[in-house]
Amino acid sequence: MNVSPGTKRKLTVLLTIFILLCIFSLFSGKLAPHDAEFVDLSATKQPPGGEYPLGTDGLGRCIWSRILAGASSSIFASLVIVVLSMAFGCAVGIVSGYSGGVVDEVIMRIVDVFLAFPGIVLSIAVAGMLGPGLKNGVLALAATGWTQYARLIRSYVLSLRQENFVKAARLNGQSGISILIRHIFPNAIRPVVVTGTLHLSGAMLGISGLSFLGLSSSSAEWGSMLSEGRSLMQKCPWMVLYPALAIFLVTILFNLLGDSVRDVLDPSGKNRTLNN
Amino acid sequence: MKKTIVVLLALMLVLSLCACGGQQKTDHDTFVFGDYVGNVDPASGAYAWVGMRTGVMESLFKFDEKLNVQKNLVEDYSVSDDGMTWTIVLKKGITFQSGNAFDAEAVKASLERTCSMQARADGELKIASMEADGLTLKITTREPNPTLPNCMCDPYSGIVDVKSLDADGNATIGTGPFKLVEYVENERMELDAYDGYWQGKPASRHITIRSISDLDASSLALQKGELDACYGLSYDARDLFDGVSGFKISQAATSRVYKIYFNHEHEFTGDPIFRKAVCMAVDRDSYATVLVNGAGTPTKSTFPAATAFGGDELAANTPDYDLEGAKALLAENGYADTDGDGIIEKDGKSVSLQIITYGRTGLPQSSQALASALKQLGIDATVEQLESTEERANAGTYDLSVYAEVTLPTGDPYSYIASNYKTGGIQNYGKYSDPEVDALIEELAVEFDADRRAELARQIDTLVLADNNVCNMYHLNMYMAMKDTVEDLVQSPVDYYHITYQTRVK
Amino acid sequence: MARIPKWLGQHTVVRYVVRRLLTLIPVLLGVTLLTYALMYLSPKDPVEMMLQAQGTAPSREVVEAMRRQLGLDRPFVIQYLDWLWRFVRGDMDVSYVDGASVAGKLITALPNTLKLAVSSVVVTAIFSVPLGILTAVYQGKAVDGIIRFLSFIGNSLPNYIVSLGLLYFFALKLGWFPILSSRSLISLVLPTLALAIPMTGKYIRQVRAAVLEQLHRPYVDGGVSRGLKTRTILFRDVLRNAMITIVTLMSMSVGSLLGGTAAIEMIFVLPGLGYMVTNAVTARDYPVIQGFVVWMSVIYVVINLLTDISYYYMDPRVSVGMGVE
Repeated sequence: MNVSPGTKRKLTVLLTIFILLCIFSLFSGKLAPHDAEFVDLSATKQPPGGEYPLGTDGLGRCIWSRILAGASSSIFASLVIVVLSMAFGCAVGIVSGYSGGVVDEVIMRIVDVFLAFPGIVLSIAVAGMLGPGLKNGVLALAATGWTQYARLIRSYVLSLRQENFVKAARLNGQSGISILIRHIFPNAIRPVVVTGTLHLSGAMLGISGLSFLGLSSSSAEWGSMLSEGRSLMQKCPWMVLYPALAIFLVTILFNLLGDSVRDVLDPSGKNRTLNN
Repeated sequence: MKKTIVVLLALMLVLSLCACGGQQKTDHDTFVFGDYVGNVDPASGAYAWVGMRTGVMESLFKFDEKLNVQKNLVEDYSVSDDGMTWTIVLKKGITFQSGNAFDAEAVKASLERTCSMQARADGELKIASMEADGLTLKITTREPNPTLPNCMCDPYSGIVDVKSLDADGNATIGTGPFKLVEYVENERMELDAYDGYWQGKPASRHITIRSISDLDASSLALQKGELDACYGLSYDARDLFDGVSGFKISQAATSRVYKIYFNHEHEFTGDPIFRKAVCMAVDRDSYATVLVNGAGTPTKSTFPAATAFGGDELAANTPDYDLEGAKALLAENGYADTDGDGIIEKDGKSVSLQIITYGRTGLPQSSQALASALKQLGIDATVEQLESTEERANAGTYDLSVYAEVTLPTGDPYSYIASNYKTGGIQNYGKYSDPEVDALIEELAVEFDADRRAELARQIDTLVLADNNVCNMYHLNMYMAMKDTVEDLVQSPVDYYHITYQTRVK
Repeated sequence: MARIPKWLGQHTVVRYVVRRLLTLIPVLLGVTLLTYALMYLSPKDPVEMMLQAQGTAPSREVVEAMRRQLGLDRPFVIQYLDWLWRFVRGDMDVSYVDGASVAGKLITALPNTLKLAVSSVVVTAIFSVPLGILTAVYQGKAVDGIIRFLSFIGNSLPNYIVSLGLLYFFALKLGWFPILSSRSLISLVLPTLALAIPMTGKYIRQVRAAVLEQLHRPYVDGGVSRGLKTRTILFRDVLRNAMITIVTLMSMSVGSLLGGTAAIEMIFVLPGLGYMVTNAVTARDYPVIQGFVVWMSVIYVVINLLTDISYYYMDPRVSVGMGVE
């Protein structure tokens, strides 16, 4: 399938921006004018301007500094969620699809259990067990996000197993693992990557959702900043506006990236999945 | 012509929609209150105070604003010399909302029911047997219980009409000014005025309680006028109503103290000098006024200064906020930053503290403010916010625990002191132990004289605070926001009394 | 994918249905056991949460007595089997928090969740289908870009912020809607919007992809060359084929919506299943949590089944790799 050079260029641009953003977020905290955790009770609820470019929150902490410091948490947390889900889900899916038979049935029933299992119960339960905090929120969200990858790659593995070139490879004596690596994986990886990039924005919003329920850490993470500031939304809108803007811009980037990846890797939309 | 008509109609539609907006019209017979919605049965468990707050249930005794016990449904009472038998004479003329008679027999039946359903009630009231005769009730306790009248203020002892239980076995009939008409779980309650109320005819004809499942939505509702008053709004929301025209707030200091527990078994926090330095990093005045937006009354004593059990004079050795002084104190006592990494050490060990806290409003913020101040002293402090700190506290895997607790749940200091300051007390997480204090606590357990009880409590607190074994920061102020036309809705120091028979919108 | 084995044929759909419904049993067992294990392993238990809610520190004897009252001192397996035995006999037990029957709570909460689920799916369909088709047909043009960009916006903010924003502007400032729900249709508007906006954003792209996929099919070119108008091809064949995928996708959304959205329910005071289960998990109200996961398992299996059946009826020529299994 031919993809126009314009589409490819768009992907390159977006990918570059994305990578630059990730790298930037690693040290953005150091660029902050103030210590993101420094509490100054004499400077609370200041509007943007002067010493505090985006104002301060209820504890007198500089919002701009917190946004910079929180970039790595928010962005990397989303990445980790996607990578973890992807890794685990693909592992399960490949095993299930390639083994077939009873193993496949059993594994898919377990996947069913996880799919039927309400994510909200799992998130709160995990947070309750491990304690609130970003790391545990990431684990909770990864635990509910892996099933889409398992299903996806399994169906791909199943259909590819029937393909002639795989059968030929088997006849030639190639081992199962080498077939997996050489033939099945490269083909199946495309829809997985598409799903993954589209999962990014959902993961970021998932973290915000957890802080709504009070399950996120109190460090400078954009979602936590939103939930801390929402009671002051009317009097001090900057406390919500700027973290929301940060989330907004990054999520749009993730969405654009996801769509672009899909346009390049899978332009016919044939391998569209369910949970985008 | 047709076009003009269409345009006019469209305009009218738009205008009428706009007219729907803005402030709601106030219905003076109905009072709409934002509060917790739940089962009014006092024996229902976790939320026994719903019935009392909504004006459905009343108990024999009640607290006044100073947390003193006052007679409510009781005319007179006395206790025998051995402290085991109480004689209570009930007031005349009180009736249940069902019309059934309110007498000693009814009270006995109600208390028996509650004690059989609620282990906590039974454990606190310690009732062995009761005798009912007309309006006189004799209660014999299993052991001397000086705080029986106090426990009878607790919502679980709301008196219900056991002859009028509903289909699910819940008690919904009490002696209060309002009768429950409809209860939709998590959403609303509808109450009608009970004109036979013993203190007089209720001023409002109907009460609607709306659930405050989300505080921000609730404050919007009050701003719009869909609520006449709202309880329990966040302390940040106070600025939307306090001093704003059309609204007013009613505030009271509760006995809920926000404090720091030190782990006495750990190296740094076990050292009284170190604890004193940490106390100097606590800017309790700013926490109370700025951090929680005025929802705090700074305190050094465990109990509120307004009560007979508290006052800053009890905490002579507790320092004021003084970061420079703290730095000096630490430096004089062997704490110094010898390797230049910004963190001080003692005897070669870096001073790093683990602060644990949980999600109750005000606690995470206070913890973060404290951690930030400690960092300025060169102490590496990290805050861990948990769902609940009990397990970690029991295991002793923490240095500081920032905690909030009601110190006078029954208006009496004994229960708090016994669980927090006694050796082996359930909530004595810091493992604080002092035999002198234990002896005083044992005396307090059986002392019937109110003045002597206060004296004992003060002595105990003085001893506890002498070495800064705990650090009290502030007591919580609760407030209710309401339209400025609302009458007789007052925030009480205990969260049991909201709606009264005189509550209404003028 | 409707994997009806060929030997079943069209007339034994009933047997197929029964077979699929039987999968409910292992799913239910797995889910409820997993739930019980999770709750059991978490640090606090219902008694502690209850007493914490009261804000007092009771004596150890009281705590133990309450534990015994609720049967929480028994081993985990016994507790689970006890629950299972009651459930099989139709008894979902009562809540630990307030003693109300779990089945009753589910039934009371369900209408609110149902109202929101139905209205938001309908609104989403009304907006996303036409707009999705539009972007597909005019792929690459300005219309496509604009609509897709707007759809991103809907998906880029946490739902509670969107909800509070809607309330602030449309209910408080403009006064067009009530803040507290008043059991009228108009109270449903804002919460429906709060739910529908992100869903619409997502589905515009799904519809677009589904329609695009159809548009690239050979039969479209065949139709054009036969002289059929594009519009006819579009509405007769493309749409019908695309609907399969769209329905599949929407069914998954309906499934998760039927579990309720806690944030929306709390903010708009429409106490449905999401609010109920959030409170239950916080309070470790095991029976209520179990009741909820049972409900979600049933929903999951039934919706998958219905989707596959409708799928089969909509297009007997099933292709491999698409849809639910």
